[in-house]
Amino acid sequence: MPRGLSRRDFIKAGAGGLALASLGLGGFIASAKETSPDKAEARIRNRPGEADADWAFVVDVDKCIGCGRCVLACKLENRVPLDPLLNRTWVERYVVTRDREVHIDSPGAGVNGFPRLPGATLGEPQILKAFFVPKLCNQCENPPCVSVCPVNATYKTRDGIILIDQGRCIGCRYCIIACPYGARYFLPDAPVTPSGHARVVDKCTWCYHRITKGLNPACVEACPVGARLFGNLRDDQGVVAGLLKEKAVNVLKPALGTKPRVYYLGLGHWVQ
Amino acid sequence: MVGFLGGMALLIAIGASWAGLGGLAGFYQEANTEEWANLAAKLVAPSQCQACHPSTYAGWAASGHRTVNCQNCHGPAAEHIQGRGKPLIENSQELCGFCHSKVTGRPADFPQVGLTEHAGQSACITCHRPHGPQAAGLRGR
Repeated sequence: MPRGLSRRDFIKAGAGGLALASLGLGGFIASAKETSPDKAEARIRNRPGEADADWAFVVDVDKCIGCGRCVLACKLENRVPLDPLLNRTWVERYVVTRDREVHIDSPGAGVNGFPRLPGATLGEPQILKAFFVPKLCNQCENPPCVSVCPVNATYKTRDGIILIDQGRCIGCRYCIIACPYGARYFLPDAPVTPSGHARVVDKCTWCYHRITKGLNPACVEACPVGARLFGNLRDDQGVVAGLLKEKAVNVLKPALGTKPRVYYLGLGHWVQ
Repeated sequence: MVGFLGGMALLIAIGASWAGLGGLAGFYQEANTEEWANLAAKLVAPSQCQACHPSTYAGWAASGHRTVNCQNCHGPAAEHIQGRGKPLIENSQELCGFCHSKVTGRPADFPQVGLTEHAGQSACITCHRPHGPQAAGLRGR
């Protein structure tokens, strides 16, 4: 604190500075909006039949057969490494036994389907209930992964999708820890991303390159039973908007306040 | 005092520019958003297969497999359509088994069998036609 400046003066000066800051910030954002051509948003606006984008993803747990075609389609579409531990999307199997124990397995993320039983110790007579739960990035409205990034490499687009600027990512992996859904993974040494980056974080983009062209995400396209559905909630006639309107849906870990955009139909309380 | 406020304002300006760059409305991310949006799609709509494979497509579209994307079995077709690369032709039991092997957790009304009990080592296509609506007295699946 400079000599002769009382604590009160210091706080006053700080408050003045803060006011100045908010003015500066507002001006900066306004100028950025005026000067940068807003192509991403414009393209979405211009899509036929859709005024704007409010993307939502619906997973129907009762329909999923655990074939894993979504996981493979995602890997092929997005150049995700074939390593079983590195995935943008995956399928989990929940087996609830009669003693109410929950056994979860996801061999190779489900890319090659599932074995008949999750383990040698479990027999069919012991099983009360079993079902598959596809998982992917929830594109949270309130994304913890974005808050923690120290270099602002990960961000939310105007249409609500969480993306990573992999040229800016320093690979610190804070976001991997911060995501409560385990939706992020670390790309290995080999430059495998479309942009050629290595040792950076990667995640599901809901196939941003497809949805902005009016296509479905690859996993939705690959699902043979309609367990994965994607749509724009601004499209009132859309299947997804209709489901959200009429059915009871759940999200994963609602208590965290992340406000996921992946809505689950038929999600039991066993699922984490 | 003026110097102090000036310094403070400078710091704040730097902070604001950072917030602008990293915030939800920054132009920096706009460029990256474009990069992601401009990637080429590899999976195509099944209707794109129809032009060159009309009879296979017609059989598939009338069969129980009409909800299964061509590329689930044959691989992404974008490059193939551009004249590069051949689609996969795979007839293994494993491929059919991804969906149709009997697995705990699969909905009971979904058609599934223990593959080896059902067919031994025989390929499924010995009896079943993946594209055809009817095959050798079997249901068209």
